[in-house]
Amino acid sequence: MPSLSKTEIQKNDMKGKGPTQNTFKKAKIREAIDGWLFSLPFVISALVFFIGPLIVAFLLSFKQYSFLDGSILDAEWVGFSNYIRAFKDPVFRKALLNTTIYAIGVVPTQLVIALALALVVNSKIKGKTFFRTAYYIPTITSTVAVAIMFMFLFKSDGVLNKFLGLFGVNPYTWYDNIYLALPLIMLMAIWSSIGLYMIIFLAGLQDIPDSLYEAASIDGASKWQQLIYITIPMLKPTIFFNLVVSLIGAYQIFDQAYVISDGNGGPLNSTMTVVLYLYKMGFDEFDMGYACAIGFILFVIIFILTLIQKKFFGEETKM
Amino acid sequence: MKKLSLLLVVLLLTTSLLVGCGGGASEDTSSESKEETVTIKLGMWSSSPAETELIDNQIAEFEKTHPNINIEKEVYTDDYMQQLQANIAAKTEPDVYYLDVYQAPAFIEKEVILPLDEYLDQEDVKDFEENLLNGFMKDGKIYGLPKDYNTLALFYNKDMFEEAGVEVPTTWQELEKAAKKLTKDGVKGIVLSNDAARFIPFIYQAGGKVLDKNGNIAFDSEAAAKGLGFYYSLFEKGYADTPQNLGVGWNGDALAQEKAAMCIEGGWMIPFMKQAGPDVNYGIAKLPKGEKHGDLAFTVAYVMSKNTEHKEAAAEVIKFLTGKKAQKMVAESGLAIPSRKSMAKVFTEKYPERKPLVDMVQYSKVYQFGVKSQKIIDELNNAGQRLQKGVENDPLKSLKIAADNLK
Amino acid sequence: MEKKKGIKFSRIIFYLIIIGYALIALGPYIWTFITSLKPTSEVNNFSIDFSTLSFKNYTFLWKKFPFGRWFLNSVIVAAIVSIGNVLFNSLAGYALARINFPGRKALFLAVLSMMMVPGQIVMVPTFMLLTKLGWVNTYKGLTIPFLTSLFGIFLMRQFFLSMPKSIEEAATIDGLGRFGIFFRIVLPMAKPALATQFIITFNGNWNSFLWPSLLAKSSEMYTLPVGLNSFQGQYYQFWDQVMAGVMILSIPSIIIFLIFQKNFIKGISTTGMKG
Repeated sequence: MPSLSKTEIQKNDMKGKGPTQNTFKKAKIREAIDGWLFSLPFVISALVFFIGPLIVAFLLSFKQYSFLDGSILDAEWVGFSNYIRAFKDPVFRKALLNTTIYAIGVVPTQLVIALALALVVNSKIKGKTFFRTAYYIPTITSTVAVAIMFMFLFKSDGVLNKFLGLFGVNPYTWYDNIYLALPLIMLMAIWSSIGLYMIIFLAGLQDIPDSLYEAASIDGASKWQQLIYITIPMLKPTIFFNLVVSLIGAYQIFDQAYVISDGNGGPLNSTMTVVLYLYKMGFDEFDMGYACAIGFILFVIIFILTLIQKKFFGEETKM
Repeated sequence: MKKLSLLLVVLLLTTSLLVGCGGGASEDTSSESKEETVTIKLGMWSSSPAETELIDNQIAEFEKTHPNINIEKEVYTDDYMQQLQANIAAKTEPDVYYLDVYQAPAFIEKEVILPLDEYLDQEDVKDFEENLLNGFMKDGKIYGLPKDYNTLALFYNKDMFEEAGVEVPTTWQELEKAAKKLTKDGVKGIVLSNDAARFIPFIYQAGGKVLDKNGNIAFDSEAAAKGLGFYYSLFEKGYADTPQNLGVGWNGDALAQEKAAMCIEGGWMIPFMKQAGPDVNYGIAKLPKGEKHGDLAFTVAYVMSKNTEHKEAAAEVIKFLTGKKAQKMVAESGLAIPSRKSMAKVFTEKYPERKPLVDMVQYSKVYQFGVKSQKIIDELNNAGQRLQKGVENDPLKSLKIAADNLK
Repeated sequence: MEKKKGIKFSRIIFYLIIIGYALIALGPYIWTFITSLKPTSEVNNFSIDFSTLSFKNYTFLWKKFPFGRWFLNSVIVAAIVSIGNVLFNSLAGYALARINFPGRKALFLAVLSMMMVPGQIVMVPTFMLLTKLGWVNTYKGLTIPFLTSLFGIFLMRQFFLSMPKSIEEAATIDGLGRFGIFFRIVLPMAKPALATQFIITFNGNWNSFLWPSLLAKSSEMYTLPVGLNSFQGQYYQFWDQVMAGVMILSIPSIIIFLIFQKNFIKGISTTGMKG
């Protein structure tokens, strides 16, 4: 009985070939009730607090509207023109490009470092608690404080430039340079979010049974082989989680860009990100309909990228 | 797990408890006894402790003479425009609130704020600086009364000037010369930011305009290019640099840290310097003139929400906070310049060294460029950036690109 | 036994690297602390003049503002939200990972999809809804909408996916119902995941600024981050004061981390650099 998985039970049931069809049917109903009961708090919360606002935002994306305009229902329908406008808007395209560059740079870097650090602080080292806390602290340091610190380090007479000067590199004020401002934001984001992904990996590592490693070392597997053949496959659900969350977070980058560029995506739109642009359009330029359209375009992009990842990880078949 | 079910119980209990008292705490129970008393919500952004003290004193003064109107401050601590719009959408915006002059046209056009004329004494209105008041007018109607203002002036390091034997510049030529002489030992003559709110005065001084009389883009002109060109020529010649390149946060920092001998800023510099650069001996002078004088004025008004239920009382609050008594308190605090002409004297008498800031108002235009203010400011900022970053070398071309982007 | 041989050199390098990164991670935090002790005029100098350092900003903040009240609000809100999240997200995450109910795939896809919607476009409609409910400026408004999170549900689902099934199946045979299995068997086994979730939710909620600043209108309802922002000027900040606020704000998050990280106990010797 324990070897028969739930899906198999269901399959048998579907075919109606099982000898004890009624018991299976009951079990199935039980499963359905339990599943929705367990999910109920979330489902209620999502229905009440999320779906309504989402529909409003979706309708707005087809309207010419700002929050100064009063009734949303009375606003003028403009069809797909907000969406069409986005594809013609050079600043939006620039923002999308910046955001993509940002995601490509940030996602793999922060996950690889986070995994390495998780392995380190999960191993038997001296001062484990100290290292865990130290590596986690960037996560709780406020974005504003981090931004000021980074601007301080990366200014033309800052510590980093003095160091690079030793190798003959010219000093630049990174956050005021059209080529270096975005990389600075990427560094900042990587630095400050590694701790988050580290503790998630760390928790994932707790699920791997020791016996697997013991068996492997008896078989003479090296540390590296154990990492490749045990740790990473066993961590797959956690890796999938971190990858998806990190990619979504990267495409929705806002805080760091806002703080570093003082809210305007400068210099010369070099730090303009999609969400920053959407925010500016919606709240500074009173064009919320357009902002919502941008939001949904971004949604579609992230959705497609996530489906690809899901496929790659074979998520759906794994139960 | 007993622990967890216990946790669950505790959670439910605390939630219900808080739900219970949360509802009660927020409701106003005091106003029921006197039926006459109304509460006016006054919306504002967060301000420094000194500014907060000023507004608190003004409110206390108001409540002394208006026992049946109660003012309740509502401070928007995050991005003001975002929070204000969220509240306007939910129809919960304050009865009276701060509105920056450059946002005013959009608010007036969308009719989210009410004209105040019926509550105002036309004679008394003449006491306000016309330049400021115009920023809140449309079709002859007044939609907001300015609470105070600031202009830009030249802040300079007196000791550096003395040492270099330089007089305070009054023209562009003198400014350039002074900046040249003062640039030495790692100090720049002047710190200038890539900011339309700082270089637009130079466009005006050269005889240029941002918008023409009909509100159309007019900054892609020879005259405007001359002003912008002069501003950025100081960078090219090495007499000026941005605060970023000087390794500080903003222009004021550069003066406080003695990294530059001059900067162009407003009256907010004064309380800043007191704390951030207490040992710097600085002076304030009028902005040097080009073809003519020109400057920007920054002002904020009190406006009345269209959703207010107590129009009369809201008007009382606006009138009092921009009235002579409250304006005198502004003058005496020295935090900003009172918007009433009659009170400017109080200000200049108490702070004679700040007179240049007041003198500049007659040459000033308010920082406002129609309904699309924000977009125009963004494009102008980019026009400046292109010159400073060397992406574009011809000021006129850079301005033309900006004008094209706005079409 | 084998400790004495050539291991030493590689161990030294290893420790140098991990200490080096610890310094990179801690640097800005330490800098924030030092800045909070400086006089305003010294903030821009990288060097430290020890004779000028003082706790004046801390006493200033403490005396000038109703810190106790703000702190209490933050504690109440963060505690309720964190506990709610740990419970509700675990329930939903478990259902998505382990219970084969109709609509499961769709629900999971919905969780993922909702994460992809940028919050900035639903913010104002949500605020309008909460206004209609009369929840603005109440504890209800600050807590109830945040009791579950998409991130947390997804996280828990992934953890339950990788947990070995055998024990639960044994419990099924023993006749334990779903809820029994969940509370008696699954949750105790999921301690590391629960701890992770608590740490993350607490930290996120503790530092949360956008929603509390919209929802808390009067000073008595401010949470700490909102209160700390309420006295910042328009044109410039005195960074020494700001940093003092940042420091105070960070301490509870660190304490929570220190308490809950103890659940990561396993320590796989074989992945370490030892030997």
